[in-house]
Amino acid sequence: MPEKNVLSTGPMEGELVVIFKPDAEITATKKTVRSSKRLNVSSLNKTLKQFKVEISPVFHPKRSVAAMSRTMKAELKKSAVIPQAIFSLHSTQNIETLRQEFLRDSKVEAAYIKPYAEDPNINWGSPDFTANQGYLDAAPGGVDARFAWKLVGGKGDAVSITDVEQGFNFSHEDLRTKISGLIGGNNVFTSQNHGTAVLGVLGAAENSFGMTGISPQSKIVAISHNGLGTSQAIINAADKCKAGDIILLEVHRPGPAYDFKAPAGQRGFIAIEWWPDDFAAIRYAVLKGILVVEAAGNGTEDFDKEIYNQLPSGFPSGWKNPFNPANPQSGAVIVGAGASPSSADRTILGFSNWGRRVDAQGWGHNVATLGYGGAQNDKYVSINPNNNWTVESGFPKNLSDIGAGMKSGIDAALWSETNNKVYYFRGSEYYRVDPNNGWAIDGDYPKDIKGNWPGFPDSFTKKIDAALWSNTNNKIYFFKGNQFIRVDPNNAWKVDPGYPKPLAGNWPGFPASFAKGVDAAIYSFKNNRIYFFRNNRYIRVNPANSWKVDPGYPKLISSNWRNLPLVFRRGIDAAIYDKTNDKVYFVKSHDILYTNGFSGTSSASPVVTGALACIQGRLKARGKPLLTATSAQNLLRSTGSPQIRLSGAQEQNKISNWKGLNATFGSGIDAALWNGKSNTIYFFKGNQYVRINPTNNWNIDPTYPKPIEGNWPGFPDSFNNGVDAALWSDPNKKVYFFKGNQFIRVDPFNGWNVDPGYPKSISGSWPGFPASFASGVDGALWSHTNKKIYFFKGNQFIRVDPANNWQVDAGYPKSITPSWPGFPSDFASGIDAAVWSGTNSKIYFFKGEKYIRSDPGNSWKVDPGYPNIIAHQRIGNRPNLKQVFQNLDIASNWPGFPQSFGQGVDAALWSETNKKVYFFKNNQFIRVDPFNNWEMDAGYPKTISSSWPGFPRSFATGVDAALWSDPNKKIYFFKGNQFIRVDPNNGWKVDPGYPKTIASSWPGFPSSFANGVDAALWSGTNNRIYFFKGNKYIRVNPSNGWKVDPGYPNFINGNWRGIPASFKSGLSAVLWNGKSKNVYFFKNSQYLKIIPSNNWTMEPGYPRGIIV
Amino acid sequence: MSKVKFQKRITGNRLNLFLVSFSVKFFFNRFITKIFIVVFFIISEFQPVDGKICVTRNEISFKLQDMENFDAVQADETSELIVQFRPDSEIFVDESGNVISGKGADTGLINDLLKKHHATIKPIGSKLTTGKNKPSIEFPDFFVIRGKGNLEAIRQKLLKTEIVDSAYIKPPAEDPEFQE
Repeated sequence: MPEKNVLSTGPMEGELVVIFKPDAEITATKKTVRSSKRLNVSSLNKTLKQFKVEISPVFHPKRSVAAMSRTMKAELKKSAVIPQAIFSLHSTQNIETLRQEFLRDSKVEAAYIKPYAEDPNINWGSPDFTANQGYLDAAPGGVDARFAWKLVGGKGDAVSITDVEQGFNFSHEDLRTKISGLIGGNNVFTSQNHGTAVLGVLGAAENSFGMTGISPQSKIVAISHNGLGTSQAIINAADKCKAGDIILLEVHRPGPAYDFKAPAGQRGFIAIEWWPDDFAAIRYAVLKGILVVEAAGNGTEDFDKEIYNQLPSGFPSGWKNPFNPANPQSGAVIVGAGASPSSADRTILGFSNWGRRVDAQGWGHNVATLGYGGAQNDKYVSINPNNNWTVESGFPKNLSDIGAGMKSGIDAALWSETNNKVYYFRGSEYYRVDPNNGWAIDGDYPKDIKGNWPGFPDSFTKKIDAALWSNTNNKIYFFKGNQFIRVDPNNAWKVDPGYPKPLAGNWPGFPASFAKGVDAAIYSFKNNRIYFFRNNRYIRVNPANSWKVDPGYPKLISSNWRNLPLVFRRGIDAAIYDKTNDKVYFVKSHDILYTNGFSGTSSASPVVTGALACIQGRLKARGKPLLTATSAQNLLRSTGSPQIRLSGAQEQNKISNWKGLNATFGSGIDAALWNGKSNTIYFFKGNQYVRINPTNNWNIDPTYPKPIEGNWPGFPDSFNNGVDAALWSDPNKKVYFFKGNQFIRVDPFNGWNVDPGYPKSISGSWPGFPASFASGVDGALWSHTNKKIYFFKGNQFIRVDPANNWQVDAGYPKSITPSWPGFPSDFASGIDAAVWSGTNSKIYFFKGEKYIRSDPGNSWKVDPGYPNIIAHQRIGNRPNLKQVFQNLDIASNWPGFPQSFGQGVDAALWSETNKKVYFFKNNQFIRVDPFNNWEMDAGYPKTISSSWPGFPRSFATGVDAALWSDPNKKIYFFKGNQFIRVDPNNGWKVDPGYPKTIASSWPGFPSSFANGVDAALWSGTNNRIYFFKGNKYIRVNPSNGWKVDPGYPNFINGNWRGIPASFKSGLSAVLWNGKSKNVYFFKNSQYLKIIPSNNWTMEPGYPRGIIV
Repeated sequence: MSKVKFQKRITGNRLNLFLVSFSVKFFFNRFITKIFIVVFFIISEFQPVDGKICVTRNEISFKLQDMENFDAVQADETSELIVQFRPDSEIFVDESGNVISGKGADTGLINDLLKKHHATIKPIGSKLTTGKNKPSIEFPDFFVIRGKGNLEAIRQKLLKTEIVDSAYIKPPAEDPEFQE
């Protein structure tokens, strides 16, 4: 195999050293190389540019190389050291990929990565948090992304996901290699955590730290609706997508429930397809074959409510409510928020919208992803200026050590010499910390920048980039974008007149890039210089020299601040000079933040989106038709882990009879009340109540539920939570509430105030009440049919006659059964609540999540069709990728393989004659068609003896190896020390004279190979045949008398790159893929793929299971 | 950066300077070429990142590499007034932002209204919904009006005109992150 001198694979980050072949005579400027021999270096320079590399000779051409004596050069040459050929490369991008690129160039002798290993803390990196990502796990808790990952394409390969929202942090350490920027709109910094978290769920990079996205191989694209509008952003996204790609709509907005306003947090916020232009934009994307996933919204709204059918003012007259499945549909997959397994798995979360239109659910809380903090917060390192500016051991540490209780995401910090305090700035807030008081936050902090820093321009009050105390003039400087302001602490901390000013022109010598803005700044009391940081570079300003930038700057942070961990070398967010002990602190925040608590339909939607990307990627890899909007919706609705109701039963795809009741009110209500004044019904649960309008199709009115407290004037505290029963009393037009052994009377015709003198004790006020009914009644109701009042308690009830001095009628209490015919047994043992409805003159009883309706006009019987569920809150099933893959027949890497072949194969071969692939196992074989999506041909497996004419009995079971030989168009089988040759052009018969011994026919075979081989391979790449035995292999050249090439046997290890240890000996079979020119190794139940054109290296993502 | 892409970044006099320098490259020795390269990078360094660059869809790949264009901003989302005109009025917005009717319908009132309220109007749509590549997707012609003025007042007046079919206000879109 062709190979270069690879000295070390090394870790992913560090210094890349490249040694060029001496005769290429490579020299380098900062960003390019050239060859004195005029060799073509354009591809090298292209790579340098692509990876933003700075290249420099390890030995300076003039100061070092030219100055060497001849003797010295000769000695170095003896040691195989050519100093001028060695170069050091720095890049902020993936230097392992860069190394691979260089190794492909013929002018490169070697390329290796030197880890930064001067001090343990230099290697600090974020931990692996993937164990926190429960949504990746097996169903029903997770979507089983880990199953999908085992299959080719199952990581969302070649699928593009465009996230439509408004803020992202593209430099997050776990995202920076996946995405580089926005394709439209404004990047709103107040939403940066949000977008970063969403992208993390979808596609956080696969690496050893942080999180891993559900579909980590999908292409992540971001667009902001801020500045574009949602419909335009969707259209723009769709125009950049291909059919089968996915657009995720991470937005919601206030709907009609609260008159399109947001007076109560996010209550009433709904999915955006309800607005005609957004509907049209989604429809446009869907008709282009794009899957659109849409957050249901966090409004606690029932999409089946009547209010969504009502045409709002100014809407097109032909508009129809898209939440109603009977109307034209957008085709988007709408996602609701379900609970994670840690709390009532797959039940609807209280804030989520629901309804028949909602297609599927994802995790609506507890989602571990990038951004925010919580799982990992801001970090800092302490640098000792008196020890060559070296990071002290034991760092980085949590920034909370020097600012306990601060939120993560610090933007800037400064030491204030005026009051010996440290200030931290975070968004629109700031903290003041006292280093001389254990770094405690001073009282009343955080405070808003606005209003506390006089004269701050508005833009500086929302976020600043950097801040510093200048000891030269005792002023404080703040930096924001390309501007800065100067504050005078000795003049009431006011901004000096004339500010803000642009950086350009006011800080002499600032490079253009730094004049666009800086990340951090610090005044060093050690050397009276000011340092500015931007990305991975810094500059130094000398206030004593007209505030000019010192010569030689900018420099790489990594070059002069010793032992900084990698994430700090990429750039810092804030810097502080700690005057108390003469230390410099560098703060790293936004790029290393992780959370375990991302929530909302925000977090649910990317969970479903990532799952869809895994499906699309897998379908694409298998060459099958991709999901369309309709098939995706059908698939999500027909598979997955079912939604669970709070009762533990499965939710159904039904419309509620009491539309708009949320899950809380859908089970175990405390009391129900008929309002005879307005012909409405009230339900009470805990400290809330809802109002139902029977004349509006029994919908709950908008803005409900509301708290009891404050809305029912004069209620005693004890009645503000958990009333037992309520009733309308028609004879006196009053309303009664019961709680424990007390009751109150409310006058609907006196502002619903509680009448004076209440509460009163039930006992003594309601004549004839049995003792058991004098406390804790379950339900109460007025029956207009017979003008009586009923009370229920346990399995009994009593009847009160208001016309007879409110006395309990004779003969009561009675058992509910048999007095109330048709009561189900669970209702007969006790109800939760009861109500008379004047709308239809029926009585409703509630128990748990069910209700029944009795008809006093029909002998008080329970109406047919009852009991019913009080309220459905459909958010749909949680995706189950394993189940989906099985349903779509894409759950195996080698589709159709019998189970026995999935456990391992004896031999495999590519047959060029019919362009098929054969696998052998014991006495059977199967045939696979690479040109039919690698499906197994019908009718297989077959027995070897019945299908391969002339096979000796010993070869009819358990062959060791097989191969196609292109030079003579024959097929060879090996078993023990023998082999046979088959001629496909002669009826696939075994040639005469076979079997023969290997030793007699294959010249140069080592004896161990002659006694039997593990596997064999024809390689069309170099027209050679390979044999594998134990941990070694040999290579045969058919065009050189079929002799073994010199230098063999060789170890598998080291020559077939990137393969795991288990594949370095005892291979089961090796297969040439004549279609793709790649090679497959099989070992027991696993296989891997080798790319000969990539230096015979294993493709990332392998080994995989033959059958997963 | 490819030569083609570089040319796209240059506008006006810079383009001329570049092309002259490019021609010189072929007629002078390597020393002159070095000077050219210096000029090249000077031009690059001072290339503004604002309106002088006309970023087309084909240049997105270049733009994505320039992280500095994506510094976060403070930009609160605002309400939008969405309008549909009667199709037979053939409304479009000209380069000055004026509403024009292809059928000569009177749009003066609308333009005065927008001017009075310091509002702007833009069509919502796709390049693919116009021109010869128009797909067979029926996409209604929506327009969006933005402004700090009273959108509801504009809406009410628009609805009274003969050429407006529908006009509604979309509240600001927000991140659906659940906040306690």
